[in-house]
Amino acid sequence: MRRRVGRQRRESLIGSAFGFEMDAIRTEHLTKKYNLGWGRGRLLALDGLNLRIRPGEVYGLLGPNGSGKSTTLKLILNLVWPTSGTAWIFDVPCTRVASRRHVGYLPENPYFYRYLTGAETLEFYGKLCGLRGASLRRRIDELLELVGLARARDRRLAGYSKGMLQRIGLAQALIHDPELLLLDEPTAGVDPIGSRDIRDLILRLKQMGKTVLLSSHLLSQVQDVCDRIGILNLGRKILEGEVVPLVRDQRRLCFTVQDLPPHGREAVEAAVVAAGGRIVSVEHPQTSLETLFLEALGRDERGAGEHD
Amino acid sequence: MTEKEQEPRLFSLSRIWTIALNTLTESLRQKVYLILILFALVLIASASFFSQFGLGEPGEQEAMEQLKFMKDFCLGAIAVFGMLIAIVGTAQLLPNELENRTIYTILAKPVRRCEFLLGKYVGSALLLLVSVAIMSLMFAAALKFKGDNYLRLIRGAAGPQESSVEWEQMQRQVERIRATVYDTDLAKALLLAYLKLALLAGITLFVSTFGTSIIFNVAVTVMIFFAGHLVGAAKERWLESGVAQFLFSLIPDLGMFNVADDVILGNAIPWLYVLQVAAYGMVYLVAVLAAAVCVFAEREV
Amino acid sequence: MRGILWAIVMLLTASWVTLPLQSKIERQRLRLKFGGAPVTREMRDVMGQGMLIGVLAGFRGVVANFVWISSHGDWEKKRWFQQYNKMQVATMLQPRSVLFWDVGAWHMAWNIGYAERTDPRHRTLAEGMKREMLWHERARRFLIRGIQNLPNRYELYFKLGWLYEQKFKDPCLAAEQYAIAAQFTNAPAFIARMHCRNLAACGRLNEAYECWKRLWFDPAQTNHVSRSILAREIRKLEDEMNLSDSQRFFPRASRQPETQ
Repeated sequence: MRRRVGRQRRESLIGSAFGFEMDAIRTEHLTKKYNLGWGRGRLLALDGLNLRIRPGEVYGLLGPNGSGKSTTLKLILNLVWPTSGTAWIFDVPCTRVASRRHVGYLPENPYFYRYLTGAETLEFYGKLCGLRGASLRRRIDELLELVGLARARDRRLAGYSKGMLQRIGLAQALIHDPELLLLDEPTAGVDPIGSRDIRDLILRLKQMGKTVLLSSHLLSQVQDVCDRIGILNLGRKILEGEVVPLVRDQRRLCFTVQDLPPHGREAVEAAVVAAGGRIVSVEHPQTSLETLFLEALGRDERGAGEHD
Repeated sequence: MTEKEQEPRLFSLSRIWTIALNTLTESLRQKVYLILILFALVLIASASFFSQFGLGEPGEQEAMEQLKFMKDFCLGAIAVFGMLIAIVGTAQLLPNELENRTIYTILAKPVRRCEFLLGKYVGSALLLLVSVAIMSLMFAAALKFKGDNYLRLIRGAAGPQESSVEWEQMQRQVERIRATVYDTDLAKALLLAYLKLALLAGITLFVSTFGTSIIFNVAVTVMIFFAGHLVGAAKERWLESGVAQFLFSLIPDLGMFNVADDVILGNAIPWLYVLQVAAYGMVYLVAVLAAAVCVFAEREV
Repeated sequence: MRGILWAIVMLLTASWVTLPLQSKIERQRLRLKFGGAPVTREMRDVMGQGMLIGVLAGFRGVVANFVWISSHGDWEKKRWFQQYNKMQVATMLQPRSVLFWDVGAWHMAWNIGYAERTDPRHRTLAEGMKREMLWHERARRFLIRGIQNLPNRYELYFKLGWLYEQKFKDPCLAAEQYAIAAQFTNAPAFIARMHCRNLAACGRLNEAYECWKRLWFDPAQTNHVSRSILAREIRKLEDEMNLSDSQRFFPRASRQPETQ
């Protein structure tokens, strides 16, 4: 049994080196029904989900509350068991403990152990993953730097803000340098600056070749970060595809022009109509509120030190 | 990554130990040690409060009486506080992990459920060990202190001459008091008391694997605690009801661990008895933990 | 569901596997007389709910102490019989406690007895003395029951002998009890001497004489105090029995006594 798993893994590593596709996550007809207790029937949380996530991509799992996003993550992590269907991580069935060697998980609204400090928390999780001694300490220092919590490393988690908890959560998910990350609502309840940092971190992880599956409500943030998205509703996948083509409206064009005098505007409009097009709207482009916020904060804090 | 790619070993002792230490740290930092302060109060009360209610005449009679009171109350307090830590302390381990969702982050790592559960248990047992050890040391010190007080009184009352009958009697009394204070069988009683608490913690953990809330876990374990003291009597009477017999056979006999009373009355406990009871406790503990692992393996989080 | 079934199997297996061990432990407990007597109705009447739970949970000693301590209140309020009942209950809870039997009997015969005799509520002194004697009798029966429960401790035999000697003024019965008490290896040396003394007081001078002479050679009576007491008593008895020089152990007082 052991040897077979080892060979599979080696083959898949070799396979990816040669460009053969091995999915980071693959689910086939994954179904989950919850028993609601006596006489109340069963709740269909997930209905025959087929999912294939390629290595190195950032996949966003979207959907309203109760659509099965968290259930999917839990099934992949073997926290709950499927009623039918199977899931694999790097071709290792999720029912095996070995499948979680290369997975890092950040749950929704994580609490962790309130009486441990940041560094102790990472040490705990690191030891669970088999890290030890000097290499563990180095890794802890690296990760605390990466998530921006180096100054709070000796403060107990009970004194951390929500954003700090998310970041320590990310750090513990990364402690063993996993190839795959599962993030459940990574930016929920985090302020815009923290959100931006988390987004930047996800993009950096993607550059490092890691695969990220994240589930979120915050659609604008998903849009900025994900390569592909899947939309779940009532346990079924109703839409899937790459973000850019999906959101791009092929039928329309946007010109952004500058320094155009008023009579020039009439000329352009006339030219569009003459060419056969139809003007849908002409207005001043809007920057996002988020960008405005971040820029204002950046101006205010220049020289005043880092935020928390 | 250079880790082995095989399936992790059935048992990783280091992972269990990591979780155990974490559990212990969590409990200690939650100021469980405040219980020790309560215990210290009991010590002081039992050493001084009851002297006004004794019936023995001043001298050796009073000393033996007061020392008996002190030993009974302090060992009783160790049992009660120990049970608080064992039952209430353990009953909240799983519910808290589930409520705070910390269990998700742990089980999402390559950690087996049995390692997690055993780690939690070992942490609880360690906490109990530390608590009982500290309480025992405090008790021993207080007992010696009080004994020395009485010895001083008795020696003073008898006068300095070596040639009186009173002196001979006084020597006897001193011997008796010293035997009461430095009774090594008290250590055996404390050892069995600890084993009983460790077993109770295991039972609590087992109950919490299928229990629904902390109060449920505590209540069911307390019921099992009382039932465990009736097992001896139940076996004698060979209950009519099959259901009752069946239930009682699932519960360990806890009465055999209570030797504190007998030690205080001056009965010696043979080591063979201690070993036999310890073996019994171990077998049951292993069974209870295995049962907990079985139930927990099926539980969805 | 399967998990719970396996769990039950584990527990039943443990129970089954440890059956022989359990019976061995049970037998040891019976032999060593661990644990206390079962709770009777009289005990239930005196103890409250809380105490019953305490006994059930294995805190017999604490509960017995509470009952014993609460009897102190009865003593102060002169409720002798309530106190007596409570002392009974304490010994019923812990029949192997030397303290309860010993101090209880002492308290009954000496303290309560004396209190009854001098109680101003009685109309005559004779009534008080009669009650006192009843308490002596109660103490005697109490001690005898104690001895039945604890036949292997010298303290109760000694206390009974002391009771006979001091309160019943019966040196013959006292001597008997002292004899039994003196046989225990951990009995103090003076008990044997009291046995001899009471034999003499009982009128059995020859036996007393032999008793003292035996003690002279007893390794337990070798310290300075004992020696002088033994010498004194032997000489006194020899004088009393009017023994001739050849029969004496010690020569008459005109010459120096033998010392070891």
